[in-house]
Amino acid sequence: MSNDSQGKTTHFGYRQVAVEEKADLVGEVFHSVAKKYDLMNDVMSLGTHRIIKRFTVELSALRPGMKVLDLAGGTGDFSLLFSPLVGSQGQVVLADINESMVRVGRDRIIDKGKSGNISYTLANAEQLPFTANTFDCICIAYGLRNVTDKQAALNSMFEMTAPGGRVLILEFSKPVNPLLGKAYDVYSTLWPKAGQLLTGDGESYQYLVESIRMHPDQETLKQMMLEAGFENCEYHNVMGGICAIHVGHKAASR
Amino acid sequence: MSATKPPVASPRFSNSVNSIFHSTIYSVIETGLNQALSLDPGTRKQIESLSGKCMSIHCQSPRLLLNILVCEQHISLSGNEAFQSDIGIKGNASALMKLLVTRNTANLKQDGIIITGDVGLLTKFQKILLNLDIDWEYQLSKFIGDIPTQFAHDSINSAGRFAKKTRNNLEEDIDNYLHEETRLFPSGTELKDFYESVDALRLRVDRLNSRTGKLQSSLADTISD
Repeated sequence: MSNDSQGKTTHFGYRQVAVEEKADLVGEVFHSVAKKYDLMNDVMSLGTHRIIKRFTVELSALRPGMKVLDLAGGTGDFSLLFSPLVGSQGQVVLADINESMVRVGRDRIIDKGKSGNISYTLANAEQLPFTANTFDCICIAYGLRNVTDKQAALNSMFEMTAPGGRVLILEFSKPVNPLLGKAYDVYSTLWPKAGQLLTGDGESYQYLVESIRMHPDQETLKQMMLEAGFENCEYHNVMGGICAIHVGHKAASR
Repeated sequence: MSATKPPVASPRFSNSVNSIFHSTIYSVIETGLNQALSLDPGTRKQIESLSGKCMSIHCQSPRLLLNILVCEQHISLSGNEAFQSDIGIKGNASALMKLLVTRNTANLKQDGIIITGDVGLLTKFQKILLNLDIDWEYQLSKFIGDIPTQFAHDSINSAGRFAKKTRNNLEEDIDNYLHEETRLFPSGTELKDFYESVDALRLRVDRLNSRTGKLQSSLADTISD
Protein backbone atom coordinates (compact mmCIF):
# COMPACT_ATOMS: atom_id res chain seq x y z
CA MET A 1 0.00 0.00 0.00
CA SER A 2 1.23 3.45 -0.75
CA ASN A 3 -0.30 6.87 -0.45
CA ASP A 4 2.69 8.51 -2.04
CA SER A 5 1.83 10.31 -5.26
CA GLN A 6 4.97 8.73 -6.73
CA GLY A 7 3.66 5.24 -5.85
CA LYS A 8 1.71 3.13 -8.29
CA THR A 9 -1.17 2.02 -6.11
CA THR A 10 -3.24 3.01 -3.13
CA HIS A 11 -6.02 1.30 -1.21
CA PHE A 12 -9.65 1.51 -2.14
CA GLY A 13 -11.23 -0.39 0.70
CA TYR A 14 -9.31 -3.66 0.73
CA ARG A 15 -8.48 -3.42 -2.99
CA GLN A 16 -5.30 -1.94 -4.43
CA VAL A 17 -6.01 0.50 -7.23
CA ALA A 18 -3.97 2.96 -9.25
CA VAL A 19 -3.53 6.28 -7.42
CA GLU A 20 -5.24 8.29 -10.14
CA GLU A 21 -8.25 5.94 -10.12
CA LYS A 22 -9.13 6.28 -6.44
CA ALA A 23 -10.78 9.72 -6.62
CA ASP A 24 -13.09 8.51 -9.41
CA LEU A 25 -13.94 5.31 -7.60
CA VAL A 26 -14.73 7.19 -4.36
CA GLY A 27 -16.71 9.64 -6.50
CA GLU A 28 -18.84 6.81 -7.84
CA VAL A 29 -19.54 5.56 -4.33
CA PHE A 30 -20.79 8.96 -3.20
CA HIS A 31 -22.72 9.67 -6.40
CA SER A 32 -24.53 6.46 -5.64
CA VAL A 33 -25.27 7.06 -1.97
CA ALA A 34 -25.74 10.87 -1.96
CA LYS A 35 -29.53 10.94 -1.84
CA LYS A 36 -29.88 8.45 0.99
CA TYR A 37 -26.65 9.40 2.76
CA ASP A 38 -28.32 10.85 5.87
CA LEU A 39 -30.72 7.94 6.22
CA MET A 40 -27.84 5.48 6.04
CA ASN A 41 -25.84 7.51 8.56
CA ASP A 42 -28.73 7.16 10.97
CA VAL A 43 -28.88 3.42 10.38
CA MET A 44 -25.12 2.85 10.65
CA SER A 45 -24.59 4.99 13.74
CA LEU A 46 -27.97 4.26 15.36
CA GLY A 47 -28.61 8.01 15.35
CA THR A 48 -25.55 8.85 17.42
CA HIS A 49 -23.86 10.74 14.57
CA ARG A 50 -26.02 13.77 15.36
CA ILE A 51 -24.69 13.99 18.93
CA ILE A 52 -21.12 13.40 17.75
CA LYS A 53 -21.46 16.19 15.19
CA ARG A 54 -22.84 18.53 17.81
CA PHE A 55 -19.90 17.70 20.11
CA THR A 56 -17.46 18.37 17.26
CA VAL A 57 -19.07 21.76 16.61
CA GLU A 58 -18.62 22.61 20.30
CA LEU A 59 -14.89 21.99 19.90
CA SER A 60 -14.74 24.48 17.02
CA ALA A 61 -15.05 27.42 19.49
CA LEU A 62 -16.46 29.57 16.68
CA ARG A 63 -17.56 33.15 17.27
CA PRO A 64 -19.65 35.53 15.15
CA GLY A 65 -17.73 36.89 12.17
CA MET A 66 -15.39 33.91 11.77
CA LYS A 67 -14.78 31.96 8.57
CA VAL A 68 -15.16 28.23 8.57
CA LEU A 69 -14.53 25.61 5.91
CA ASP A 70 -16.78 22.56 6.01
CA LEU A 71 -14.54 20.27 4.01
CA ALA A 72 -16.06 17.11 2.56
CA GLY A 73 -19.21 18.81 3.82
CA GLY A 74 -21.48 16.55 1.79
CA THR A 75 -25.09 16.92 2.78
CA GLY A 76 -24.45 20.07 4.78
CA ASP A 77 -25.04 18.85 8.36
CA PHE A 78 -22.04 20.75 9.67
CA SER A 79 -22.65 23.86 7.59
CA LEU A 80 -26.13 24.08 9.09
CA LEU A 81 -24.65 23.88 12.58
CA PHE A 82 -21.85 26.37 11.84
CA SER A 83 -24.07 28.92 10.13
CA PRO A 84 -25.82 30.42 13.21
CA LEU A 85 -22.53 30.45 15.14
CA VAL A 86 -20.64 32.67 12.70
CA GLY A 87 -23.68 34.84 11.99
CA SER A 88 -24.32 37.15 9.07
CA GLN A 89 -20.83 38.69 9.30
CA GLY A 90 -19.15 35.28 9.16
CA GLN A 91 -18.87 32.80 6.34
CA VAL A 92 -19.31 29.07 5.96
CA VAL A 93 -17.90 27.39 2.87
CA LEU A 94 -19.25 23.96 2.11
CA ALA A 95 -16.68 22.16 -0.01
CA ASP A 96 -16.83 18.64 -1.37
CA ILE A 97 -15.08 16.85 -4.19
CA ASN A 98 -18.33 15.19 -5.20
CA GLU A 99 -20.88 17.15 -7.20
CA SER A 100 -23.85 14.97 -6.20
CA MET A 101 -23.12 15.46 -2.53
CA VAL A 102 -22.78 19.26 -2.91
CA ARG A 103 -26.06 19.36 -4.83
CA VAL A 104 -27.86 17.41 -2.10
CA GLY A 105 -26.26 19.62 0.58
CA ARG A 106 -27.04 22.86 -1.22
CA ASP A 107 -30.68 21.91 -1.88
CA ARG A 108 -31.12 20.88 1.72
CA ILE A 109 -29.65 24.11 3.06
CA ILE A 110 -31.73 26.24 0.72
CA ASP A 111 -34.86 24.28 1.64
CA LYS A 112 -34.20 25.07 5.29
CA GLY A 113 -33.82 28.76 4.42
CA LYS A 114 -30.35 28.97 5.93
CA SER A 115 -28.36 29.90 2.89
CA GLY A 116 -27.47 33.47 3.94
CA ASN A 117 -23.87 32.97 4.96
CA ILE A 118 -23.14 29.61 3.32
CA SER A 119 -21.39 29.25 -0.03
CA TYR A 120 -20.63 26.08 -1.95
CA THR A 121 -17.68 24.84 -3.91
CA LEU A 122 -16.35 21.71 -5.54
CA ALA A 123 -12.86 21.24 -4.16
CA ASN A 124 -10.23 18.58 -3.82
CA ALA A 125 -8.99 18.44 -0.23
CA GLU A 126 -5.44 17.77 -1.44
CA GLN A 127 -5.30 21.08 -3.33
CA LEU A 128 -7.69 23.51 -1.70
CA PRO A 129 -8.53 26.41 -4.01
CA PHE A 130 -8.49 29.20 -1.43
CA THR A 131 -6.14 31.94 -0.34
CA ALA A 132 -3.69 30.82 2.33
CA ASN A 133 -4.47 31.70 5.98
CA THR A 134 -8.18 32.22 5.28
CA PHE A 135 -10.19 30.06 7.65
CA ASP A 136 -10.48 30.34 11.42
CA CYS A 137 -11.64 26.76 11.48
CA ILE A 138 -11.52 23.88 9.02
CA CYS A 139 -13.64 20.86 9.75
CA ILE A 140 -13.50 17.60 7.85
CA ALA A 141 -15.96 15.01 9.07
CA TYR A 142 -16.01 11.44 7.80
CA GLY A 143 -14.11 12.63 4.74
CA LEU A 144 -10.39 12.23 5.31
CA ARG A 145 -10.41 8.44 4.89
CA ASN A 146 -11.68 8.84 1.33
CA VAL A 147 -8.86 11.17 0.33
CA THR A 148 -6.13 9.51 -1.74
CA ASP A 149 -3.18 11.38 -0.24
CA LYS A 150 -4.13 12.20 3.33
CA GLN A 151 -0.87 13.92 4.16
CA ALA A 152 -1.26 16.24 1.16
CA ALA A 153 -4.79 17.08 2.36
CA LEU A 154 -3.53 17.86 5.87
CA ASN A 155 -0.76 20.06 4.42
CA SER A 156 -3.28 21.91 2.29
CA MET A 157 -5.61 22.36 5.28
CA PHE A 158 -2.74 23.72 7.32
CA GLU A 159 -1.96 26.25 4.62
CA MET A 160 -5.57 27.48 4.48
CA THR A 161 -5.97 27.74 8.26
CA ALA A 162 -5.56 31.27 9.58
CA PRO A 163 -2.90 31.79 12.25
CA GLY A 164 -4.53 31.03 15.60
CA GLY A 165 -7.13 28.89 13.84
CA ARG A 166 -7.86 25.24 14.29
CA VAL A 167 -8.66 22.13 12.34
CA LEU A 168 -11.14 19.49 13.42
CA ILE A 169 -11.04 16.00 11.99
CA LEU A 170 -13.94 13.71 12.81
CA GLU A 171 -13.39 10.23 11.51
CA PHE A 172 -14.00 6.59 12.26
CA SER A 173 -11.08 5.22 14.22
CA LYS A 174 -9.87 2.23 16.19
CA PRO A 175 -11.93 1.11 19.22
CA VAL A 176 -9.84 1.15 22.39
CA ASN A 177 -11.45 -1.94 23.88
CA PRO A 178 -10.80 -5.10 21.80
CA LEU A 179 -14.16 -6.55 22.81
CA LEU A 180 -15.94 -3.44 21.58
CA GLY A 181 -13.83 -3.66 18.44
CA LYS A 182 -15.08 -7.18 17.78
CA ALA A 183 -18.70 -6.22 18.40
CA TYR A 184 -18.31 -3.21 16.11
CA ASP A 185 -16.74 -5.38 13.39
CA VAL A 186 -19.71 -7.73 13.54
CA TYR A 187 -22.15 -4.81 13.48
CA SER A 188 -20.43 -3.18 10.52
CA THR A 189 -20.74 -6.35 8.45
CA LEU A 190 -24.48 -5.60 8.45
CA TRP A 191 -24.05 -2.23 6.75
CA PRO A 192 -23.69 -3.50 3.17
CA LYS A 193 -26.88 -5.53 3.67
CA ALA A 194 -28.68 -2.51 5.13
CA GLY A 195 -27.32 -0.41 2.26
CA GLN A 196 -28.65 -2.92 -0.28
CA LEU A 197 -32.03 -2.86 1.42
CA LEU A 198 -32.39 0.90 1.80
CA THR A 199 -30.50 2.32 -1.17
CA GLY A 200 -30.20 -0.68 -3.48
CA ASP A 201 -26.43 -0.32 -3.41
CA GLY A 202 -24.64 -2.74 -1.10
CA GLU A 203 -21.26 -2.41 -2.80
CA SER A 204 -20.79 1.24 -1.84
CA TYR A 205 -21.35 0.39 1.79
CA GLN A 206 -18.94 -2.51 1.52
CA TYR A 207 -16.37 0.13 0.50
CA LEU A 208 -17.31 2.30 3.51
CA VAL A 209 -16.74 -0.61 5.89
CA GLU A 210 -13.40 -1.46 4.32
CA SER A 211 -12.23 2.15 4.15
CA ILE A 212 -12.93 2.57 7.88
CA ARG A 213 -10.69 -0.39 8.67
CA MET A 214 -7.91 0.92 6.43
CA HIS A 215 -7.95 4.39 8.02
CA PRO A 216 -5.00 5.32 10.25
CA ASP A 217 -5.54 4.94 14.00
CA GLN A 218 -5.68 7.84 16.46
CA GLU A 219 -1.95 8.16 17.17
CA THR A 220 -0.92 7.79 13.50
CA LEU A 221 -3.31 10.53 12.44
CA LYS A 222 -2.07 12.77 15.25
CA GLN A 223 1.51 12.28 14.01
CA MET A 224 0.40 13.15 10.47
CA MET A 225 -1.18 16.36 11.77
CA LEU A 226 2.02 17.30 13.59
CA GLU A 227 3.94 16.60 10.40
CA ALA A 228 1.64 18.97 8.51
CA GLY A 229 2.57 21.73 10.98
CA PHE A 230 -0.34 21.72 13.43
CA GLU A 231 0.43 22.26 17.09
CA ASN A 232 -1.18 21.18 20.37
CA CYS A 233 -2.76 18.26 18.56
CA GLU A 234 -5.14 16.25 20.68
CA TYR A 235 -7.84 13.72 20.04
CA HIS A 236 -11.10 12.76 21.71
CA ASN A 237 -12.20 9.17 21.49
CA VAL A 238 -15.93 8.99 21.01
CA MET A 239 -17.90 5.86 21.85
CA GLY A 240 -14.80 3.99 22.96
CA GLY A 241 -12.75 4.99 19.92
CA ILE A 242 -15.23 3.95 17.20
CA CYS A 243 -14.90 7.58 16.18
CA ALA A 244 -12.23 10.08 17.09
CA ILE A 245 -12.16 13.86 16.89
CA HIS A 246 -8.68 15.24 16.29
CA VAL A 247 -8.05 18.91 16.98
CA GLY A 248 -4.94 20.75 15.80
CA HIS A 249 -4.00 24.41 16.06
CA LYS A 250 -2.00 26.71 13.84
CA ALA A 251 0.31 28.95 15.86
CA ALA A 252 -0.91 32.55 16.10
CA SER A 253 2.49 34.14 15.42
CA ARG A 254 3.85 32.56 12.29
CA MET B 1 -19.30 47.99 27.06
CA SER B 2 -15.78 46.83 26.49
CA ALA B 3 -15.08 43.34 27.69
CA THR B 4 -12.15 42.65 29.97
CA LYS B 5 -10.74 39.37 28.74
CA PRO B 6 -10.11 36.79 31.44
CA PRO B 7 -6.96 34.67 31.15
CA VAL B 8 -7.10 32.70 27.92
CA ALA B 9 -7.89 29.06 28.54
CA SER B 10 -5.40 26.52 27.33
CA PRO B 11 -6.15 25.29 23.82
CA ARG B 12 -5.48 21.74 24.99
CA PHE B 13 -8.56 20.08 26.37
CA SER B 14 -7.15 16.88 27.78
CA ASN B 15 -8.60 18.02 31.12
CA SER B 16 -11.98 18.65 29.54
CA VAL B 17 -14.70 18.12 32.11
CA ASN B 18 -17.47 17.92 29.62
CA SER B 19 -18.40 15.02 27.45
CA ILE B 20 -20.76 13.85 24.79
CA PHE B 21 -23.33 13.42 27.56
CA HIS B 22 -23.14 17.10 28.49
CA SER B 23 -23.17 18.01 24.83
CA THR B 24 -26.48 16.17 24.41
CA ILE B 25 -28.02 17.93 27.40
CA TYR B 26 -26.77 21.32 26.17
CA SER B 27 -28.18 20.59 22.75
CA VAL B 28 -31.65 20.01 24.22
CA ILE B 29 -31.48 23.12 26.42
CA GLU B 30 -30.13 25.21 23.54
CA THR B 31 -32.99 24.14 21.28
CA GLY B 32 -35.53 24.99 23.99
CA LEU B 33 -33.92 28.34 24.73
CA ASN B 34 -33.78 29.37 21.08
CA GLN B 35 -37.35 28.19 20.62
CA ALA B 36 -38.38 30.37 23.56
CA LEU B 37 -36.42 33.29 22.11
CA SER B 38 -38.16 32.87 18.78
CA LEU B 39 -41.47 33.40 20.61
CA ASP B 40 -40.30 36.63 22.21
CA PRO B 41 -39.23 39.14 19.54
CA GLY B 42 -38.49 41.83 22.14
CA THR B 43 -35.92 39.75 24.01
CA ARG B 44 -34.50 38.50 20.71
CA LYS B 45 -33.81 42.07 19.72
CA GLN B 46 -32.23 42.83 23.09
CA ILE B 47 -30.02 39.78 23.01
CA GLU B 48 -28.61 40.88 19.69
CA SER B 49 -26.85 43.72 21.51
CA LEU B 50 -24.73 41.03 23.22
CA SER B 51 -23.77 39.33 19.95
CA GLY B 52 -20.27 37.87 20.11
CA LYS B 53 -20.19 37.92 23.92
CA CYS B 54 -19.61 34.74 25.85
CA MET B 55 -20.33 33.96 29.49
CA SER B 56 -18.68 30.92 31.06
CA ILE B 57 -20.17 29.25 34.08
CA HIS B 58 -17.79 26.94 35.93
CA CYS B 59 -19.67 24.84 38.44
CA GLN B 60 -17.25 23.33 40.94
CA SER B 61 -19.56 20.80 42.55
CA PRO B 62 -20.68 18.97 40.49
CA ARG B 63 -17.83 19.82 38.09
CA LEU B 64 -19.33 21.29 34.95
CA LEU B 65 -18.57 23.97 32.41
CA LEU B 66 -21.15 25.87 30.41
CA ASN B 67 -20.30 28.55 27.86
CA ILE B 68 -23.22 30.73 26.80
CA LEU B 69 -22.38 32.42 23.51
CA VAL B 70 -24.66 34.95 21.86
CA CYS B 71 -24.52 34.84 18.07
CA GLU B 72 -26.78 37.63 16.83
CA GLN B 73 -30.30 36.40 17.74
CA HIS B 74 -29.19 32.88 18.55
CA ILE B 75 -27.83 31.45 21.79
CA SER B 76 -25.28 28.68 21.66
CA LEU B 77 -24.29 26.49 24.61
CA SER B 78 -21.06 24.55 24.77
CA GLY B 79 -18.69 22.91 27.22
CA ASN B 80 -15.40 23.59 25.47
CA GLU B 81 -12.66 24.70 27.85
CA ALA B 82 -10.71 26.30 25.02
CA PHE B 83 -13.42 28.92 24.65
CA GLN B 84 -12.29 32.44 25.44
CA SER B 85 -15.07 34.02 27.45
CA ASP B 86 -15.79 37.66 28.28
CA ILE B 87 -17.00 36.84 31.75
CA GLY B 88 -16.31 33.80 33.91
CA ILE B 89 -18.43 32.83 36.92
CA LYS B 90 -17.16 30.17 39.30
CA GLY B 91 -19.00 28.67 42.23
CA ASN B 92 -20.96 25.68 43.48
CA ALA B 93 -24.30 24.63 42.04
CA SER B 94 -26.59 26.13 44.70
CA ALA B 95 -24.87 29.54 44.68
CA LEU B 96 -24.93 29.64 40.87
CA MET B 97 -28.62 28.73 40.75
CA LYS B 98 -29.33 31.49 43.28
CA LEU B 99 -27.43 33.95 41.13
CA LEU B 100 -29.23 32.92 37.97
CA VAL B 101 -32.76 33.10 39.34
CA THR B 102 -32.45 36.23 41.47
CA ARG B 103 -31.28 39.70 40.64
CA ASN B 104 -29.26 39.95 43.80
CA THR B 105 -25.57 40.34 43.00
CA ALA B 106 -24.71 41.98 46.34
CA ASN B 107 -23.62 38.90 48.29
CA LEU B 108 -21.55 37.16 45.62
CA LYS B 109 -18.46 36.91 47.79
CA GLN B 110 -20.46 35.52 50.72
CA ASP B 111 -21.92 32.84 48.46
CA GLY B 112 -18.42 31.84 47.34
CA ILE B 113 -18.85 33.04 43.75
CA ILE B 114 -15.80 34.29 41.89
CA ILE B 115 -16.30 36.50 38.87
CA THR B 116 -13.60 37.31 36.33
CA GLY B 117 -13.99 39.67 33.40
CA ASP B 118 -16.76 42.12 32.63
CA VAL B 119 -19.23 42.14 35.55
CA GLY B 120 -21.57 44.54 33.73
CA LEU B 121 -22.11 41.80 31.18
CA LEU B 122 -23.45 39.49 33.90
CA THR B 123 -26.12 42.04 34.80
CA LYS B 124 -27.08 42.37 31.13
CA PHE B 125 -27.33 38.59 30.63
CA GLN B 126 -29.35 38.26 33.84
CA LYS B 127 -31.71 41.07 32.93
CA ILE B 128 -32.44 39.70 29.48
CA LEU B 129 -32.90 36.09 30.57
CA LEU B 130 -35.13 37.01 33.51
CA ASN B 131 -37.27 39.28 31.36
CA LEU B 132 -37.99 36.56 28.84
CA ASP B 133 -41.67 37.07 28.10
CA ILE B 134 -42.91 34.47 25.69
CA ASP B 135 -45.86 35.56 23.60
CA TRP B 136 -47.37 32.09 23.57
CA GLU B 137 -50.88 33.37 22.90
CA TYR B 138 -49.86 34.81 19.53
CA GLN B 139 -48.06 31.59 18.57
CA LEU B 140 -50.97 29.44 19.72
CA SER B 141 -53.47 31.62 17.85
CA LYS B 142 -51.61 30.89 14.60
CA PHE B 143 -52.44 27.20 15.02
CA ILE B 144 -55.86 27.13 16.69
CA GLY B 145 -57.30 30.59 15.93
CA ASP B 146 -58.13 33.67 18.03
CA ILE B 147 -61.26 32.53 19.90
CA PRO B 148 -59.90 29.17 21.16
CA THR B 149 -56.70 30.99 22.17
CA GLN B 150 -58.71 33.54 24.17
CA PHE B 151 -60.59 30.67 25.81
CA ALA B 152 -57.29 28.91 26.63
CA HIS B 153 -55.90 32.18 27.99
CA ASP B 154 -58.94 32.74 30.26
CA SER B 155 -58.94 29.12 31.44
CA ILE B 156 -55.23 29.21 32.30
CA ASN B 157 -55.61 32.56 34.09
CA SER B 158 -58.57 31.38 36.15
CA ALA B 159 -56.73 28.12 36.92
CA GLY B 160 -53.74 30.22 38.02
CA ARG B 161 -55.94 32.40 40.27
CA PHE B 162 -57.59 29.30 41.75
CA ALA B 163 -54.17 27.71 42.39
CA LYS B 164 -52.91 30.89 44.09
CA LYS B 165 -56.01 31.19 46.27
CA THR B 166 -55.87 27.50 47.22
CA ARG B 167 -52.19 27.79 48.11
CA ASN B 168 -52.85 30.82 50.32
CA ASN B 169 -55.76 29.08 52.08
CA LEU B 170 -53.72 25.96 52.58
CA GLU B 171 -50.82 27.92 54.06
CA GLU B 172 -53.19 29.70 56.43
CA ASP B 173 -54.88 26.45 57.50
CA ILE B 174 -51.58 24.70 58.14
CA ASP B 175 -50.39 27.70 60.11
CA ASN B 176 -53.51 27.72 62.28
CA TYR B 177 -53.41 23.96 62.82
CA LEU B 178 -49.76 23.96 63.94
CA HIS B 179 -50.11 26.98 66.22
CA GLU B 180 -53.61 26.72 67.64
CA GLU B 181 -54.74 23.09 67.38
CA THR B 182 -51.66 21.01 68.07
CA ARG B 183 -49.76 23.77 69.91
CA LEU B 184 -46.55 22.46 68.30
CA PHE B 185 -45.30 26.01 67.75
CA PRO B 186 -45.86 29.14 69.81
CA SER B 187 -47.94 31.93 68.33
CA GLY B 188 -46.45 35.26 67.23
CA THR B 189 -47.70 37.09 70.38
CA GLU B 190 -46.27 34.44 72.70
CA LEU B 191 -42.96 34.63 70.90
CA LYS B 192 -42.94 38.40 71.18
CA ASP B 193 -43.61 38.19 74.96
CA PHE B 194 -40.89 35.60 75.33
CA TYR B 195 -38.32 37.72 73.48
CA GLU B 196 -39.30 40.79 75.53
CA SER B 197 -38.82 38.92 78.80
CA VAL B 198 -35.44 37.63 77.55
CA ASP B 199 -34.44 41.22 76.76
CA ALA B 200 -35.59 42.43 80.21
CA LEU B 201 -33.69 39.61 81.88
CA ARG B 202 -30.55 40.48 79.92
CA LEU B 203 -30.82 44.12 81.04
CA ARG B 204 -31.28 43.08 84.67
CA VAL B 205 -28.30 40.73 84.48
CA ASP B 206 -26.23 43.53 83.00
CA ARG B 207 -27.25 45.91 85.79
CA LEU B 208 -26.52 43.27 88.41
CA ASN B 209 -23.14 42.66 86.83
CA SER B 210 -22.20 46.33 86.91
CA ARG B 211 -23.42 46.66 90.49
CA THR B 212 -21.30 43.65 91.56
CA GLY B 213 -18.32 45.20 89.83
CA LYS B 214 -18.91 48.51 91.66
CA LEU B 215 -19.23 46.74 95.04
CA GLN B 216 -16.06 44.72 94.39
CA SER B 217 -14.07 47.83 93.56
CA SER B 218 -15.36 49.71 96.66
CA LEU B 219 -14.53 46.67 98.82
CA ALA B 220 -11.04 46.59 97.38
CA ASP B 221 -10.65 50.32 98.20
CA THR B 222 -11.80 49.77 101.84
CA ILE B 223 -9.31 46.90 102.33
CA SER B 224 -6.42 48.93 100.93
CA ASP B 225 -7.26 51.85 103.25
